[in-house]
Amino acid sequence: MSARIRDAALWPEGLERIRFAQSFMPVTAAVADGLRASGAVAGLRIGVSDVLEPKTASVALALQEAGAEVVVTCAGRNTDDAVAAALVHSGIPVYADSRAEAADDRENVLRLLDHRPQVIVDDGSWTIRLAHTERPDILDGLRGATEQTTSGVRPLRTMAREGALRVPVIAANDARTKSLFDNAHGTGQAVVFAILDLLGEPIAARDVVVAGFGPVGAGIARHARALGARVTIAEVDPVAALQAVFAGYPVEALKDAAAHADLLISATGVARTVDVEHLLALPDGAAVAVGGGVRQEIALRAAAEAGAVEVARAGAVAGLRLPNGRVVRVLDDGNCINVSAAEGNPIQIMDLSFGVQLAAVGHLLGSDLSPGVHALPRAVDDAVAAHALRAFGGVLDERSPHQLRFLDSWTP
Amino acid sequence: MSTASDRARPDAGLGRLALARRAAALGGTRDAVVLTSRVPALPPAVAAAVAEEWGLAIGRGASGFDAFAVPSFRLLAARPRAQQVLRAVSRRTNLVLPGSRAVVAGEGALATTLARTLSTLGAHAILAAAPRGARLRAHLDGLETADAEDVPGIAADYVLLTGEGQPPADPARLRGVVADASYDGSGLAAAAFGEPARPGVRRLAGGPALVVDIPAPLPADLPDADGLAWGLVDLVVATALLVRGDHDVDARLAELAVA
Repeated sequence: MSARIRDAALWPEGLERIRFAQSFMPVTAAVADGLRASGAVAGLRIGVSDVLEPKTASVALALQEAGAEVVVTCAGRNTDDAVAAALVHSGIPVYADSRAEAADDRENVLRLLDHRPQVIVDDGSWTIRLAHTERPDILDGLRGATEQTTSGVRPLRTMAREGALRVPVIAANDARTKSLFDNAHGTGQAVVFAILDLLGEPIAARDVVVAGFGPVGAGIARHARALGARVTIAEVDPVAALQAVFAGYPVEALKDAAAHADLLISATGVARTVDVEHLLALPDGAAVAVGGGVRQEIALRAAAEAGAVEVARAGAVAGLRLPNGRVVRVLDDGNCINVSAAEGNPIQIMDLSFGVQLAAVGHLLGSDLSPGVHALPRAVDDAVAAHALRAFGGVLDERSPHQLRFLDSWTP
Repeated sequence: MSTASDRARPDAGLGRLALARRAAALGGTRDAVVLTSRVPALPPAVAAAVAEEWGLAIGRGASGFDAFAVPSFRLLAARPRAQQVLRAVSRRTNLVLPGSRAVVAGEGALATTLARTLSTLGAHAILAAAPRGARLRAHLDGLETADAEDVPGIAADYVLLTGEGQPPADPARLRGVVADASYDGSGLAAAAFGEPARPGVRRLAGGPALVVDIPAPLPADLPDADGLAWGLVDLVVATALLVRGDHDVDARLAELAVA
């Protein structure tokens, strides 16, 4: 079996944490049971390209137990080497190493693609896109893919618009059971606590500015506020900005808000959201981070070209001296902090997302979909939510006959 | 938040104690103050620096000044401690807080702060306290309340024990993820543990509870102190300085903190 990992001897530690995660993932287990019972993935080659930590490992193992031949890859900055070793120990080829640089990451994805996967379970759509640009010969055998992030779905829609997308992709990200929970609650909790871990400072009574009030930004804002921070929102979408106002947050232009920020968190998934002008507006000592996100969401390359210089580094906190003489603290080099400087989003939240991903795989294989980006049908989404509701102790109500008659009637 | 240049000087010491500096400026005559032993002990290096800088020896003893009887102190300590506790729970378990059921046991500001924080971020928080006044306040805040004695019977994902006004809980009687959130290790009774479930999380031998290790409010050594710990150090030293000057500790602490 081929593999490219840091240290195969780390598997016991990784397996211990995978077992812990699995004990809090009833939704993934239930959907995987369905795939196993139906035989939908038996004998299929499935490539999993995702943050590699105990929860995603549970998905790979669930697919393997359902009969699939699973291959895994992950970017170095998001790789937990012990978990990678545990998967290899379980017989899954893994191409992921925490020491990998960008070129290695690309090579690792290509190695996964060389297994000629028939389904790709993707996070960020990088693997789907590289399949189109670097390994187009595998596309005829690729039955489709699923994508679980906002920033990953966006380029796929562009590909579809331009006629470049040659396989069906289920936008698992857009499922309500995913975006309403993972993006808001999961990323919110993971981002805020990852930042607090790195800074080790009180957040109560501090000024926190959140750029973006989509589900991720709203979740970050809520967690920061719960811990006592004064939160300000910057938004470009008037509806989202209005939602922020009605949630009780001041809404300002980012450049103005940055000027009073103790902590600035970008949550837009758009490169150069925090541009040089915003960095220059920050007070001395302010910290800046990215939640969720994409590369260069903080415009660090442009800042360097403008004369910014790293003058200190303590772990993942870098002191960046700006051309105006102020020093701001950049957290984890502007990477997606909830996964690059923490263990990723909470287990039960990712359980929902992975339940959606697996349900999306089942839907993909059970349908005859044309190339393009497809929504997960409401019924499939609802079935995953129902599993989760039971796990969280909720009970679903039913419409009465009176309500059903009302909904079916049209007479005034 | 501290400046980047502060962060580059981990031994900055008393330069971080903004509250204490303002308290010292108010003056005082005594050269020694004893605080109740519930107050976390200062790292020795800090205690020595305070003695040198301000001529004040800060001791701890059962009959010392009860800082936790001062409302401003309770409030100012509760926020950073709650942050320490929730941070440790989140990081060490990687379990979700929103959507969970969390019991917070205690009759003081820390329990109230934890319960309100959890509720605001999306958890179903239940405050378990004996005094009717504490329960009434929580009830009127929309929190579910319970009697402290009923904690073992409540089905919850988390049980956070602050030790405020309550004896140490027996972990063998608890379920879910259990954490001693107290300032002084008084939330949870000693217990036998089995294999670690993951780093910082221990499985109780013969019981269903998972116990999360929560760091003490203050580390023993300065190099291990983060900004939160320095904030608590600042609060303790400022309180001792105000006691030395026979000031109205509650009013002065509130003024200095807001200033």
